[in-house]
Order: sequence, then C-alpha cells, then structure tokens
Amino acid sequence: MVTARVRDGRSAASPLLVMPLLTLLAIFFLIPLGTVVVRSFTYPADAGLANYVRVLTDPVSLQYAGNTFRMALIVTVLAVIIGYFYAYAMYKSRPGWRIFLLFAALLPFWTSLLVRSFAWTVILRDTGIFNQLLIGLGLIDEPIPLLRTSFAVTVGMTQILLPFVILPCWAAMARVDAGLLSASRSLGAGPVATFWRVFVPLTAPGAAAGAVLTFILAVGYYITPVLLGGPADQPIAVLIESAVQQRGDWGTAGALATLVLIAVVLLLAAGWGLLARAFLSRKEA
Amino acid sequence: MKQGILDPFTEETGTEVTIESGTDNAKLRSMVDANRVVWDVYNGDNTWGTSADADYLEPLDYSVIPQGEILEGYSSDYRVANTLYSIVLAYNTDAVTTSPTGWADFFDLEKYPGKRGVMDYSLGGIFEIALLADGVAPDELYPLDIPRAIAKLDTIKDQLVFWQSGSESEEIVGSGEVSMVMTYNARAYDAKVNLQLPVDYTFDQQILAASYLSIPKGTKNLAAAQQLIAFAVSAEHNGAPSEFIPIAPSNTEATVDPTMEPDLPTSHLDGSASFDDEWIAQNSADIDSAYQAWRAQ
Repeated sequence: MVTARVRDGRSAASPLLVMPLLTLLAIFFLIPLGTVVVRSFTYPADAGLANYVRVLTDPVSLQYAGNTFRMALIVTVLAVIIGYFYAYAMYKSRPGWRIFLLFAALLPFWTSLLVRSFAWTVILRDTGIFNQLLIGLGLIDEPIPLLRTSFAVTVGMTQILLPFVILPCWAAMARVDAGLLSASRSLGAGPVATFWRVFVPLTAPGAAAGAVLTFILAVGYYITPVLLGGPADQPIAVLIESAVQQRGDWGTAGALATLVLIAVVLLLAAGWGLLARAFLSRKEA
Repeated sequence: MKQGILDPFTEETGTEVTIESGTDNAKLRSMVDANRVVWDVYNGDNTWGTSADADYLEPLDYSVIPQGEILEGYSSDYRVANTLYSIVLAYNTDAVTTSPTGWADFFDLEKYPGKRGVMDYSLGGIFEIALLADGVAPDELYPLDIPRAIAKLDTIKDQLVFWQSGSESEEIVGSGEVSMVMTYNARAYDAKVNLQLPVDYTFDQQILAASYLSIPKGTKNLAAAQQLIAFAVSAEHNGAPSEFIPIAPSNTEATVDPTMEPDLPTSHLDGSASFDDEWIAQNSADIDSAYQAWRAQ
C-alpha cells in the first residue's frame, strides 16, 4: 500500500495514515513493555540490578532459558525445512490441489492453540491413538512413552508453527517470475541446479521471514511445552508465570522477560547479519 | 455458587451481584496498586489472603461474619474459608487391588507397581505428601523439611507423571497410565462417581485446603461485601454447594447434603493434615525455586 502511494507521488500522506496504528502500538505494546522493563529495576523499590544478578546466577533460570532457546532453534529449523517444501508442493500443484493444500495448512491455524496442544496429548499419550495403532498392528507390546518428552514438544510446536513458514514461503514463490526458471533451463541448467541456484535464492527471503516469525513465537511458547513436555523441557515462560502469578514478584518476572527480549533481539540481529552477508556475496559472485 | 448463594442473597437484600470468573491474584494486586478496584469480594485459593497480602485486603468484620461457627484455623484477619476440599490419594482399581492407606503406599513401588501422577505445582502439596510418606506426623509438617521431601521424591522420580490440570489427573488414573495419583478429592470423586472410571480413593492422610473469601482494599462497597461474605459462610447457606459437588462447608453448623456427606473431606478429619498457608506464603519463593530446581534435574 505504502509503496503504491510513494509511486503515485502522494507519499506526504502516508506518515499520517500510519499514525493511528503507531498510537495503538504505543498504548498497547510499548507502554506495557516499558513498564515490564522499569519494574525489573524498581521492584522492590531498591532493586537496581539485584533482580538481574539473582536471575543470571540462578542455575534453574539458566537451565530453563537453555531449554527455551534449544527448543526454539530445533523447531525453527524443522518448520523451515518442512514448511518450505510444503509451499513448494503448493507451487507445483494444479490450482485445485493448491487450494486444498492451503486449506489443509490453514485449518489448524484457525483452531485455538490450547485445543491443538490438547489434541496432541490425545494422540501421543500411552493410551492415545498413535500407541493404540502400533499395538493394534502388533508392532509393539507396551506403549512407547511419547507424551511428556522433548519429542512431543518438537512435534507439537513444529506443527502449530508451520503456517508461519508456509505462508511467507508461498507468498515469495507466487511472485517468482516463471520466465527466470525457463531462462535458466534454456541456458543449460538442469532441474536440480535451477531449483537450487535460481528458485531457492529468489524465495529465500520468504523462508527467512518465516524463520524469524517462528523463532520469536517459539521462544515465547508456554502452553504447548507445558502440556506436551516433561520436566526437562519446561520453558522460561514457566518461571515468569510462577513469579507473577504465585508470588507477585514483578521484579524477577521483569528481569527474566527483559533478558529474553535482549537475547532474542541479539540472536535475530546476528542471524539477520549472516543472511544479509550470504545474499550479498551470492549477488557479487 | 450462583444458585446456592448469590441469587438468594440478591433476593434477601436486594443487592445485585455480578460474577466475574477467573480468579487472578496478580490482577487483584494490580487493581489495588492502580487504585481501580472493580472486585468487591474475591474468592481466592489457599495461597491468597494471608498476612503477606495485608496491603491488598480490607480486614474482615467479624461482628457481621459468624467467625465462631467457622472450623478452627479457617478464618483470619483478611479472609474466611467458604469451602473446604482436600488433596487425596486416588488409584486405578484395575492396577491396585488392595486399598492403599496413606502416602507411604504412594511411594511403595514394590507393593504397588506403576507410575504415579503428581500435581505440577510447588505449593500444591507435593512436598507435604513426601514428608507424610516419610513418617512426619501431620501436625509437624511445618516448617517443611524440603531437602528431606526431595530425597523421598527422588526414590520414585523416574515413575512420576506431572499433571497440569485436574481433568488430566482424572484421565491418567482412569486410563491406567498411572496406578496412583495425588489429586483433589472432588476430582477423585468425579472420576469414580460421575465418569464411572475404574478409580477409587482414600481420605487417609488427606491434606485439607480451602478456598477463601476476601475483600480487595479500596472497594467502594465495603459494607455490602462484608454482608455478602457473612451470608455465604452462614450456617443456612454455606452447605449449599455440597448438593452438587463433594466440597465441604467451612461453617461447622451448616447442614450438608446427606447423600454427599460420606464424600466430604470434613467427614474424615481424623489423621488429616492441613496446609500452613501463613508459613507457605512467607516461604513461597524458596519452596518454588527448590521445586523447579529439583524437577528440572
């Protein structure tokens, strides 16, 4: 929208048009976020850096933070691989199939997160569909413990977050100029080389956008790891929740939240830098 | 709650009561901090309303509220219990054929093989059941010997299943995924009686807990709030919920539903333990961090 206006030579109007949105963001996002950060230094009143020192020297917070970022990374990698090829399947399909695939990807997206997480518990528990099927087929005698494991969290979160990769990937693929692919083929590149050296670089920004979205969301996940994971998979959100809800300790909760925010921003900046360099060097080559 | 207490209250006094569901201690604290209190009466869990929360609550007016009729230990400056429940040992009757008689059996994997379900909540009684199983007398639980509780829990740690919601506790014991579970007495009852699952439970060494009524500091309807609390815990109305669920009145003179009476925690007070909410409130940060550290190991 904004780009279109710039081309029309009416760019002067656009800053005013986004003002309501910025005001909304300021009121409902920036101010509460600022409050969280301020409280991490001022709760209790003489806290200063005390909350940060306590959190950073507490082995439990560090372990939970490790769980959170490890799981977010694994889920992001899996979601990007699966989501990219799913979008590619949509790209290659005839229109009827494409709509079906899009619908199949979006249908769970319209279901509540809680319901989807509970659905996975029904599938994965000892007496669940999956174990009953394997026992029924005579493949196993005793149910395999799947629920309350890292495996369950990985599967659940990847499935739930997939649409965030599929949609930007599909958006990027839909914009690819088919002429470029034909040109590559006519210039002698085989289908594999065309895919990897023309199609993938053209659509990688979509995958990168999906990866960023997925990673940010995965770091903040709470319900899914709590319901599907075991004691060793609990995310940092559990500690934040328990600080606020059980103890009313805004200082500790604020310090934890601020540290997670800083870590995410730093990781994204690093990841963004790597990607940017990769694309630039490719263009130079 | 609405049928048994709030509607009759409106009928009798003409005061309209609006229900807002979702008790949230953090929300209440924020309301009081921001001086925008929209709740007049708050029905909180047993961790709420001790002297640790004095800054957020109005003192109760015991010239209006019948304190003398309330079970001893269940009324204090800022709160009065309206219903009593307990943490009990429930078991799958296919897996467990001889009835367990206390928490020692919960930790006895030889006599009772199978997994054990525990509430994933540091203040929910997990340390208490370990200490009771280890031979600590019910009236000597506090101050909690947390290292001793953890040592006891470690003996069955690889068999533990941590449940997140009451319905999950019913599901895991009903399906036989665990052979025993620590859960709320009302959940054990629900699995056994309403859902007809192969589940039974014992009140032996139950841990009594209560939900409490309190008044957020700065309410504009202080007198009506005191009146509503007095009404809710009165002998005449406090027994009403027992018509529907096995939740006991805190008022010792209240009449309960006779068919429900054997299933109420207050009918089995011999040998039960109780949460020491004051001690827990003062030590909740230590209890919780010890729990999180142990569980994540």
